[in-house]
Amino acid sequence: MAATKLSSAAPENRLSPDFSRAMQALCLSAMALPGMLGQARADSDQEAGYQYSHYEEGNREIYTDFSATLKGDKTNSIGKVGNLFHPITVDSEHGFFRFRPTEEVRFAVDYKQDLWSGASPISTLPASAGGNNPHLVNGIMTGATPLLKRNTATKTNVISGFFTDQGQPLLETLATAKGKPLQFSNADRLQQTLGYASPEMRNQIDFKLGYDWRQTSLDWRAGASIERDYTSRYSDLNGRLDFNQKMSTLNFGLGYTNSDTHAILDEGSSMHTSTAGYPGQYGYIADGQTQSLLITGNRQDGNLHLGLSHILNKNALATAGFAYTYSAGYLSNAYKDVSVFLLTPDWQKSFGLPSTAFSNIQYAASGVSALEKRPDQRNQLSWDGSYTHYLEPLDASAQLRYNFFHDDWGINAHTFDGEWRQSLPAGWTMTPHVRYYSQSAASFYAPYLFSTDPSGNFKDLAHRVFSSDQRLAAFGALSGGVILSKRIADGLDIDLGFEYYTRASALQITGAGSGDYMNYHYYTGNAGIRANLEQLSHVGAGFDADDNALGWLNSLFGAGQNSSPSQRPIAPAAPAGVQFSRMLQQSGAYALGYRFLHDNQDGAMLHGSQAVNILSPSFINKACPLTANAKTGACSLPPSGNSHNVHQLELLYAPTAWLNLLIMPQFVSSYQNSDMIGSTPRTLAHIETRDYQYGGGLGDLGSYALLKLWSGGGQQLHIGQGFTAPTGAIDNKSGIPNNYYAYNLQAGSGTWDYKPSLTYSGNFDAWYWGGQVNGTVRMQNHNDLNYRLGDIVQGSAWGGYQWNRWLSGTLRAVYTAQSRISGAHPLNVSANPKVAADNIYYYGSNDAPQNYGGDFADLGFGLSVTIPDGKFAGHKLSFEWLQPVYTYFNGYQLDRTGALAASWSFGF
Amino acid sequence: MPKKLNNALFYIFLLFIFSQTACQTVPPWERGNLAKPIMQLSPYPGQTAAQNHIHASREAAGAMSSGAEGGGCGCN
Repeated sequence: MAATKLSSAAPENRLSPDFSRAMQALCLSAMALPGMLGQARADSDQEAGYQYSHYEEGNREIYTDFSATLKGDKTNSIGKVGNLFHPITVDSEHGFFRFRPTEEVRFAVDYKQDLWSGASPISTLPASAGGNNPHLVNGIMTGATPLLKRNTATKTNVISGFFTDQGQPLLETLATAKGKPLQFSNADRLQQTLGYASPEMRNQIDFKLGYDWRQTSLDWRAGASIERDYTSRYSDLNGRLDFNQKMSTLNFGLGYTNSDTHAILDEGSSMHTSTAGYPGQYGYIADGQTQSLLITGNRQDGNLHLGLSHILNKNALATAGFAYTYSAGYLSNAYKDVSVFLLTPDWQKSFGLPSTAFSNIQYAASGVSALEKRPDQRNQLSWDGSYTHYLEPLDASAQLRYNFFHDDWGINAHTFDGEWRQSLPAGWTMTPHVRYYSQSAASFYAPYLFSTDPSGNFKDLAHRVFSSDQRLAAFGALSGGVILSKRIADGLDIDLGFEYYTRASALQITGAGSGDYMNYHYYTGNAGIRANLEQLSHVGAGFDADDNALGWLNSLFGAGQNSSPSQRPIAPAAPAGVQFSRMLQQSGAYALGYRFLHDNQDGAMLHGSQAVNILSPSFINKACPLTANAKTGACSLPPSGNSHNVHQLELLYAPTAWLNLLIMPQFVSSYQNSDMIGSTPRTLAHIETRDYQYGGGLGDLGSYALLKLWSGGGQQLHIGQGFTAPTGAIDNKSGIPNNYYAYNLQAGSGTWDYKPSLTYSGNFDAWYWGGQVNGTVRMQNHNDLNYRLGDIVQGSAWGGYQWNRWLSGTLRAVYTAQSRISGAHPLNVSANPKVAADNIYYYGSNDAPQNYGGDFADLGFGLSVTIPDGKFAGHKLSFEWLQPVYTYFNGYQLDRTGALAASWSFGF
Repeated sequence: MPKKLNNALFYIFLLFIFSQTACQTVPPWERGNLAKPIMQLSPYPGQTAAQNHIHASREAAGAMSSGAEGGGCGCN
């Protein structure tokens, strides 16, 4: 906004060409200044945007001891086995909206959601200890269960092993039985014990309020991040001060974060995790059938930073900064363990050996896996500098950055970063970058520990801190990638980013990393779209600019300096839940849209349309029909609540007035909680609510063509032809490797789907109306997991009334029919093939494909707001609540309790 | 790399930056190049934030760059 002020201060008459040029430069330079603050100008004040990111790790290597199946020489019995765990994947979305209510005030809201799942390291053990407990059939791993205390060689539930006096693991290759000779090989190797995490969700929202003075600005931000097991609340205050003729800018900030851990370790981990030496903060929760370890804790982080940026010359600028963070409280990670071996004094005796034998070898007959314990305070300091240079002949810029980090946990880290930003013709920019990172290990990092407590109670750990977390080890990482950016239209940009990251022990800056067994790599891909709401000219749903019923909104957004009334479009505001209802009427026009759909199923359990008791035998027998020889467990986890969220982005383009093209990416998230029925017979059942299950990620990508068939007299008929590609995942799983989540918790259909629609709309005076028939036809017999969702047909009719030039209301009737799922995905089977046939059953009614689909009728109540003029003229916000009036399920499902649709659209 | 050499490199870098500042005043009408989007300190804030969040959950020093932000046990 400094630009506006400067230009308005200039004399308005006697403009010479030189003066104009100077003014242009002045405005440009003034615009540049806020960008030096680390809040880039690209981070505009009047902007809406959306970004999707995908993160995927490479598979970790798993080793095991094959000595039991080897004949003869066993000195090299450690071998690699295939890792069937899905590595960690994360799907994230980020939506934001920023605007200036007045010249000086800025407001921003940011929303982020992460959905992640996969295998991550819990602890570190020698491979011979069998921490990943692979189940092998003919040498091929068919499954794995992290058994943090299990020793597969001795088939005991404790970890044991031989070590050199330096603590290196040794493989005993002949026998460990009493009286047999011992022979050691150093062929053993360390590996991480992997735990598989079911899909988890994180939601974060924050609000920012900023105020600008002539040379200073102040921003206050507050937000929260919520996960099932972790909640964070944070707030920060950031300021900016320009001085030295705006050659220099000082940034300063203060931040505070308060976070709570509420981690319930699953039954498997609880059984194997010891709290030995751990001071409090844990307890047990029982849910009627199992007992799980509960870990709670609070941490607080305070942060301050100072930064200076300075213009060096007309082509270069540099920054220097300092940051300090103080953290206190529970700083450990509840899901990380440390293996602790209890050294046996005079171990030789138990093997019938003289006590002088193998005097340089130690032996631990037992051990535990203990919760990690980090210090309860941390001081972190960091210094950074950057240099950015513009290269005029190439119309490119180069940026170099360096950061040095030091903390009182003993970690020093260096980050070097280089970026080349190349402008290209046709609005493209290409930015390759490379980054190198190296850190030393925390002083309390150890892959595993030894205890010498003669009582065997690990009392010597009570006052120690320890962690085997790979992030506190010494390592280096090299990453590189590229960002491609394209300006599609004035004020509309898309960014595509890719990065590959490899972490290696050998990349540590001194070459002395903590161990190759922690090496891994990942890649990320990002796609974002940003719309600058000021720059986009708009043709959307403009209205005659004569009356001004929305005075308060106009004054909020600044009276209509940008409004450009245009032809009133046909179907001014179809209800928010209706897709494909809108066509652009001008060739070359674009429209952006976003639609949010939310539905709930948390009513009574219905069979058809009749409520049933989940404890009744008929429910157990019919809702979860037994297959094979299943005897128990069927329907032991029926759903008690389901919810689905769909975020759809609409990019509409009109090559001609009669043809519109629509691309529709979507992001899906679902959650479910279940009743756990704890005993048989069911009449004595103890019912508990289980934790949420989350599913979702990037959904199926839709591509459509809308063709106008007829229009006249305020009416229009158009047809939609298109399909969705199976880009949404259908293999979301819970912790058991073969246990797929129910069909309604998957992100996509897994099939190519044909989606035709026919829409009629009309208006007369303040009334408008419409109707639509649409369908979803699966074009394949089955997807990769051998099932096909039911086809859908939907009809709806609506009427609306435009109360005034900005507000309208709609009433809609909807009928939907969906057929059953055909086929079925692989069932919940035991990891052991011998017992699998006896144990196939459905956990919940929504695991059974015959329970899907049905006939439904809903009434929709909608409101639509169109901003008539001002900066945001043409933006349309619509909401619709769908109230179920009739429900008939094909099988057993939870009653529907309503759905919400919200949409935003903007044409330009 | 020895610690002293690290420190020396850092100070040389700082010295280089400040030597460049030697009282050279750039009048506003010569700041056109500096106003270009590619000269912003972070031209793609969304992309940068996504990378920073991942680095922060993968590296001991990563969390410093992003200031106050939630997100705890996720994507470990």
